[in-house]
Amino acid sequence: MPSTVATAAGVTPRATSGRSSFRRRGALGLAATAFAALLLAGCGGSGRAPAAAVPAQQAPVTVTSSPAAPADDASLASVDASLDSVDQTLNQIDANLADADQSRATSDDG
Amino acid sequence: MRTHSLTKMGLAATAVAGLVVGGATAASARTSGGTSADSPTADAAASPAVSGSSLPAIQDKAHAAITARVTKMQTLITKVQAAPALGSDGTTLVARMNTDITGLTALDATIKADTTVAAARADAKKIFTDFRIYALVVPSTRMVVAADAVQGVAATRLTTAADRLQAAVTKRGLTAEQPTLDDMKAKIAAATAATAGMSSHLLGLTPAQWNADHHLLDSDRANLKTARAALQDARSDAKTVVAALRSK
Repeated sequence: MPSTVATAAGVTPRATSGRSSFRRRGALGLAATAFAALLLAGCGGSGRAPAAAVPAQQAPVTVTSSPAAPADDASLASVDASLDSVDQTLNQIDANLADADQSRATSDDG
Repeated sequence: MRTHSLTKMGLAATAVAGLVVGGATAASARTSGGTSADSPTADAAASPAVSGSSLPAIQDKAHAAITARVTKMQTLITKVQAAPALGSDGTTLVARMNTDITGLTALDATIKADTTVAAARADAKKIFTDFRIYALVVPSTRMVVAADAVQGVAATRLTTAADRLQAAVTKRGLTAEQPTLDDMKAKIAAATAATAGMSSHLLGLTPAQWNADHHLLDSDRANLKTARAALQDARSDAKTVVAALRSK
């Protein structure tokens, strides 16, 4: 029950007792505290804006095709590592072919 | 078990090499103005002509030629044992070289025991005709290592990379990169095809076959070059797709 009542023209607001007003203010304080607690829980300590402040229709949507997607980054990093390894293998193949040629050239008599 | 076996072979080969090198030192002491056993010059001097009019000269040059070959194979055994993806081919290569080391060491003893110039010359010629270390064993060993690296390392890793890139391209609908990715896969297949069966072919070649055909290794060598170039192209394709995925 509100502590004040909206007045129409010519109507005098009814007086309320002091004890009843104190109870209503206490209830409002508790409600405000509970709401604040809910807001803090929504933030989760992340420092982000409270989720409750964002209308449901505008909630963040995960864009899976983003170039910066972590899963893609990990996969590409793995490909990079494989290609580095292939570079080393190509160098080893070159070294083996070079030594084979050198050996063949070392002596015509084998 | 395999490691133990290889270790034993390595130790045996080292012991043989030590005996031969020790003998080479003694031979050098007997021969004034001798050349390094490792140099091509020394090797050329020990050609089948095994020049030298005296029995000791022939024996010394034959010994130097054997020492150079044993040393070369000792080095190669270490490299083969350290090479990745060789598997049973590596075991076969090491065993083949150890057999050659044993055979050359025995031949060295035979030549040292020869009592005539004609016998020493005939035995010294076997260093080349019966073994073909430089012309066949070393090159074919190197080529087996290279062929196995193409198939067991490079092509395998590029295939894994291609699979990952395909997943990323499909997921993001980057159809413009598909032809490059398809080319990458084709180049991997080409490299694999160029070296298919090569190792087993090389491992089966004999000095007698090389004596009959000095171009015995030419086609395998050309195929290895083809495979290497295909792998390089596949790698370039992969880099192109990776760059596209990162930029879009």
